[in-house]
Amino acid sequence: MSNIIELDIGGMTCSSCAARIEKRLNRIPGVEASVNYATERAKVELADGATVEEAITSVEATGYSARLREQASTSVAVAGEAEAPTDEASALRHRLIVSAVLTAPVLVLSAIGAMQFDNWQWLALTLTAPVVVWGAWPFHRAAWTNARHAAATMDTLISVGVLAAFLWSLYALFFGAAGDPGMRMGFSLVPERGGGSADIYLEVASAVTVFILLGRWFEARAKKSSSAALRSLLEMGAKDVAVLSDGVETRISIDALVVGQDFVVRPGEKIATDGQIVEGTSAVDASMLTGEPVPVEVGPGDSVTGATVNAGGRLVVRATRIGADTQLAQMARLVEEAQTGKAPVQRLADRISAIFVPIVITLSVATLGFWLGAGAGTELAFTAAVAVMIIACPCALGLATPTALMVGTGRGAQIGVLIKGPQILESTRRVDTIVLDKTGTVTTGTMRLVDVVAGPGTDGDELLRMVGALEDASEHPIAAAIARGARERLGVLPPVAAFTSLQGLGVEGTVDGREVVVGRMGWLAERWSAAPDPVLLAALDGAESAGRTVVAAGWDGQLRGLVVVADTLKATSAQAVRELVALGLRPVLLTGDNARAARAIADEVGIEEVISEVMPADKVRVVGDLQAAGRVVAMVGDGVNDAAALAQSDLGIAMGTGADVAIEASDLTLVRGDLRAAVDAVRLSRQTLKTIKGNLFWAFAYNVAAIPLAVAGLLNPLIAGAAMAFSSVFVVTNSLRLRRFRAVSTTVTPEVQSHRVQAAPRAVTVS
Amino acid sequence: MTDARRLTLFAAGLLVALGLGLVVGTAAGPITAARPDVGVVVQGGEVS
Repeated sequence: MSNIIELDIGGMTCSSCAARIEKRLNRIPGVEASVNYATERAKVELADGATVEEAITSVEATGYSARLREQASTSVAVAGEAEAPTDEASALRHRLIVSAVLTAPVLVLSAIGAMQFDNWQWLALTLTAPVVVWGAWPFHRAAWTNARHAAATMDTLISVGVLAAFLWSLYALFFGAAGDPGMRMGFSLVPERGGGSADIYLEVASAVTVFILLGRWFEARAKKSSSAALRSLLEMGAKDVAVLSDGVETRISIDALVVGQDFVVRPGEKIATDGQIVEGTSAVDASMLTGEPVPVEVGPGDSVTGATVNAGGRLVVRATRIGADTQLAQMARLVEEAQTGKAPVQRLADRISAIFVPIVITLSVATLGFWLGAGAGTELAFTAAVAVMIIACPCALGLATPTALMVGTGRGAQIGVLIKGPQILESTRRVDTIVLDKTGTVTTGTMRLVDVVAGPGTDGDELLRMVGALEDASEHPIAAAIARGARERLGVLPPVAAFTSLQGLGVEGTVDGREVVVGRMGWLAERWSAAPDPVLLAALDGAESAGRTVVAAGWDGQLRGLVVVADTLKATSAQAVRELVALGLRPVLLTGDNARAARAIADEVGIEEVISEVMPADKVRVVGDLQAAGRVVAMVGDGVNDAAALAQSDLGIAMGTGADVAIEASDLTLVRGDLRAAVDAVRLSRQTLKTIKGNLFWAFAYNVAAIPLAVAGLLNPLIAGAAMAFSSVFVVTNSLRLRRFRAVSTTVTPEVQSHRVQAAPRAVTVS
Repeated sequence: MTDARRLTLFAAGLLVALGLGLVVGTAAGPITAARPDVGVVVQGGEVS
């Protein structure tokens, strides 16, 4: 029998750490583990007598900390845990501020000769020492952990570079000429060989630390926000509940509710937990959970889900599932699992460093050998060898990713695209398939009047006027859509008298002296014992099979016609699909509708691949299946039911008009509900990634170009400073180019304009 | 590849690099720190 546990892992600095821990855990017999760097958690399946202690010891032996994570029994406990602050960002911020304050004077003193006074170098050393030891401590620690596993990352490069610069400066100050009271930083126009022990590189050591800390702080802030997904999902649930006992209502906390207890849900209130209706009928708005705009009619015996909203009458519900067993809690688990199981994306800078660091160290040792062999003396040989390591550590390395990301996300915010962090950019390059959830993404997600089918002898406008006036008195979302459509088309609607709403059936009232009835076709036919007109029946059939909602209307004892409402296509969807295809993506429409209705929508927007009749909970499986087929999947969705699929996908894109949890579980958020923004999101992300790559190249290029000088023993602080300044300026300028990114979603094309005109409801009279 | 094996390979690589450096350096002939043929311009920025 196997037991699944979760461990909180501490000390991971990059995704290769996660891979290393995973490898180590999986080496234990009977253990199957997956480690996620983003959530800092390990999911471990223990079998064949493997113990938790064994797993923890194994992680600790790898150089990281591990702690058993308590399984939350109630939703409140999970919410509480999710609220625990991530102090990584604040710790980095503290380190950054202190280091920056100490570094500023060192930079000024080193760069401006006029500011150098007697013994200035000792003040610079006093200020630099805490920055190198304490400020850069996270890099040293990570470098040490990596070194124990014969691995090199960006941390190794930083640590080696900073320590080389600092230790060399210490040597020069204590044993070389640099410690003389009247020492001035020489600005040699031509590098002088062998002047090493008179040169100090304190500003290099401290500035590199500050720049890298700045970059890390930006990254930590981005990581912190992703853990909010779970919290926002759980906050959706009701906090208290009105329990009904012997006919008396008592309001208690949701935690005190037990299975089998009856509770009251008033109109407009959230249903406290999953249960079965005992008394009352109503329409339940589950759009927050399912994304579907049509409320579900419910009555005694029907099951309801916690966190959905009671849109109609008073309900008495018997609790069937509470706490961690509810559908909402299960969804939270699904989101968490999808996040934990996601393949980590290794930082680009780490991948480069993994190759770069061994090369630099080898080159440094070769330089040492060369100068020793050439008989230049031990001091010059060591000067040249250390200089190679000092110059190899690019200061702009820490700026390459954050600056491009800052400008990219800033431009994104202007055009309505929010990018969550650098780790997702890599995914935008690789994705080849884009799954579009139909409701709320391709369509508007709100009901609109699309058709008025008048029966023989009835005028279409007259029918719409009567139905619109009567529905105006109802609060049902379908009624509201009809009333809004009627008012848009006909203007002021007549008043209604004697209005009555019959839950689940329809409404009736007097309009212009006529007894008007609007509701289900079956109810009207039964009420007047008359067979509906075959033409109307055919229209009803056609509309319903296309996934539309039809209401019948009549007066004076006769069925007069039909009014059709439907979720309508967004004006920009077709253009967006074309643009996505142009980006090399294969669009797939995902919907719970029947195959015919789904096909109709897909044809309208130009999508070839359709996955229909998918239950909300199965979306994550569909995405997983596509991934298993070798596709790299981006998913666009908006509902809570999309959250797990968004987290599972390689690139989750949430519509900002949707549920908070969907936004939190995604990688990219589109502020406007325009699908074209998804095109911009992918384009902007790819552009940002391209800029980051360019930045990394140039960050290294200036320093790499100076390596031959270091090898030749010709490096001095001026060259190190110039490489630092030029690469930083270049990286920042290159990043600023992203501000000129042009968005397609902010332009109104003639096609969009004409779609807006066509979207107005039309009236058809059947003669 | 195990960690120990990787470290050993890297250490061996460093030894090879050092040896190669020594060989090339020796072949290049004696090079001293003093370069009287190179002109040096020093810009003094002292504040008295």
